[in-house]
Amino acid sequence: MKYKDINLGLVLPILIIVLLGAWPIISQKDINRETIFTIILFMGLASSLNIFLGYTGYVSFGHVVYFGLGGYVGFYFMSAQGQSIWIAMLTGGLASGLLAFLLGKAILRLRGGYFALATIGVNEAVRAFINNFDLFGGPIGMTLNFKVYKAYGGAAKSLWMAYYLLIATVLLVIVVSYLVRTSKFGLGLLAIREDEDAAEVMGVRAPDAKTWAYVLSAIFPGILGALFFFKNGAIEPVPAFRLSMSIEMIVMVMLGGQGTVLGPLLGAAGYQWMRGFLLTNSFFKNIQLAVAGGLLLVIVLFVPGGVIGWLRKQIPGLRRVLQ
Amino acid sequence: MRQRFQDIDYLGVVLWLLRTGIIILVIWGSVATIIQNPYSSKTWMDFIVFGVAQGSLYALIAIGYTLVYGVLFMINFAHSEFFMSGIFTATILLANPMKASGFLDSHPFVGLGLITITAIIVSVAIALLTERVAYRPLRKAPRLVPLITAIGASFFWQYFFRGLFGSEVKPFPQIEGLIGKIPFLGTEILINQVVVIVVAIIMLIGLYIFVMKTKIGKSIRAVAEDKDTAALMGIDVDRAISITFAMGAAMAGIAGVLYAMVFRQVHFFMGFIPGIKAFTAAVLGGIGSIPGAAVGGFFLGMFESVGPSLFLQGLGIPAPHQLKDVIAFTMLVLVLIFRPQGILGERLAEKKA
Repeated sequence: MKYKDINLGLVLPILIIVLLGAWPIISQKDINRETIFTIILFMGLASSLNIFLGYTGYVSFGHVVYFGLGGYVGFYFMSAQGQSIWIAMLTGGLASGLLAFLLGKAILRLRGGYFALATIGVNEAVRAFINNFDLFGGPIGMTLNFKVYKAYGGAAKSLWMAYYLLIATVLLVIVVSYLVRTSKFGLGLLAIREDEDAAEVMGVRAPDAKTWAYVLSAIFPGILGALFFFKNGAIEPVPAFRLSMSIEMIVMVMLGGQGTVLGPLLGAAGYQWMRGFLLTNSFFKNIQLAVAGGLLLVIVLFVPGGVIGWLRKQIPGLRRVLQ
Repeated sequence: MRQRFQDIDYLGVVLWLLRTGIIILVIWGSVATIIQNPYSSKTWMDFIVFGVAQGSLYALIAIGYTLVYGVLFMINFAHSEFFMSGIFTATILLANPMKASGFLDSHPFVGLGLITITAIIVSVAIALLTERVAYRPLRKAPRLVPLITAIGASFFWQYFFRGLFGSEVKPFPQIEGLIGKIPFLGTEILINQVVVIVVAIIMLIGLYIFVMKTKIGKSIRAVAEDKDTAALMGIDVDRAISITFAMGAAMAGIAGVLYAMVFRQVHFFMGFIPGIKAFTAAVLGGIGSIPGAAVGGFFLGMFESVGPSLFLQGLGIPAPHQLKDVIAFTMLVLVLIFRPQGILGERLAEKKA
């Protein structure tokens, strides 16, 4: 492979994840691992949302439903059926992908605002349903039997394994995001974002393209949900389907730069850093999410391209590197 | 004939099966419930009156969504926060201190009037501020951009008021004179539910007359029709849009007071679920149409109140009333899939969102 072929647009995001992920492994400290786990988890979630929101320009307000659903389905297979974490990740991702496929086919015919509101409706309906669904533990949720961890050599080892799996999954998300962006399929999505009618005239099969982008962006939160709740050891309807998490995912994507591979990573890291600062501040502690809402306003009004979009505009030489 | 079979895709078949299945389930459940006859006619009457009261609240909130959509073709997600902010502020700053000092008990109607005026003023102020800061600069932007600022504004206001007044559920005092029941068609209904229904109907009719008959209403309708032409005819478009937001927010402020009277509590997150349900009502009735919002609101209120007992009881589902929210949100998704133009609407909303 020649040097020219090594594409910095892909290498840079991978490098960020690998370097960030290596820190707890080198220091072997559990507390570092927990911090980095959350950051990389949100990087993965923001990147998945970006495949849909950033590339097609459609807004999904209830994207957390795929995280929660994947978590619940995976958790059910682990705790009630005694299956392995692999099966949990697979079924979690599949369940989310399937729901997204059905919804995409049915509601993506609608444009913009209607679709966005329908996604909130779906999230609330699924949460209310699971709240009354005895198989999944109803409002109390489910807890993981300790035996499940034993299969992987005890709780401590399981947590490290969850961490490695997380890094692998998020790397996969980034590669997929990059491949979508540089493929013909991705070009079609970007055309839909600019003008859906014109894109259709040019031969983009908009309904199909939108649905597949939506499915892609739903599968990974499902896998990540299964992983997160495996690490967590317990699952309840409220934390699994928290709408504010969807909004935070949108803030991350917009902050870093929608429609770029690198942007959501920077946005997730930046937002997590800011949240850490706000939560320890006595004044901002209660209104942390007001800051998120205000930040969203400021970004859309003044820097609609996010950090990456702004940098690309200011320094044209970086355009090849920052994708 | 062959051509027509080719037009049918598998998605259409699936959706058709889904629709037929739901209708069969609803009819089957209703018939089974009627045969079992688990409730007395008095209970049914209670369900219906509560449904109408609930529906009037939805209708009042839905007006705000419909007015803004009619003028800007934009879904104003922050509307539920206009509803919350007015009554939340009025309860904390006015209602509870007045109750504590005994003023609310000695002058209940003066007190209620003051609460209502405060709620309306706060709601309208929040609405005008949101419109000015979050929506007006983006009027020429692609339609999805204001959607993102709208959810940002919604979150901002929720947590702003949480920071201001705290995250606990606050009680709303009982108003002397609105307690108790009055006889009605052989049964008794709560006075505050009657007040909710009467006030809502008066406000809805008043608003309809205002939009249809006055000069300001005419200018709003002109802006809804065509902004550029309206501007050429000497209409101040920005002012007309501000008035539209203010009217919707005033309705939401009144709805907030009525909501607090019925449910006797307020908190910072109280706008979310009524907001989504009112939006469902607006879509159900045909978004952009004022009578549609009213019809959709009453329909959804009834459906939610009577529906669980009527459709689900007969199917043998235990505690059907707990599934009220599942029904409402499923209904939102189903309406969006099957009939996005609503009951009264003829314009297909697909292109305009």
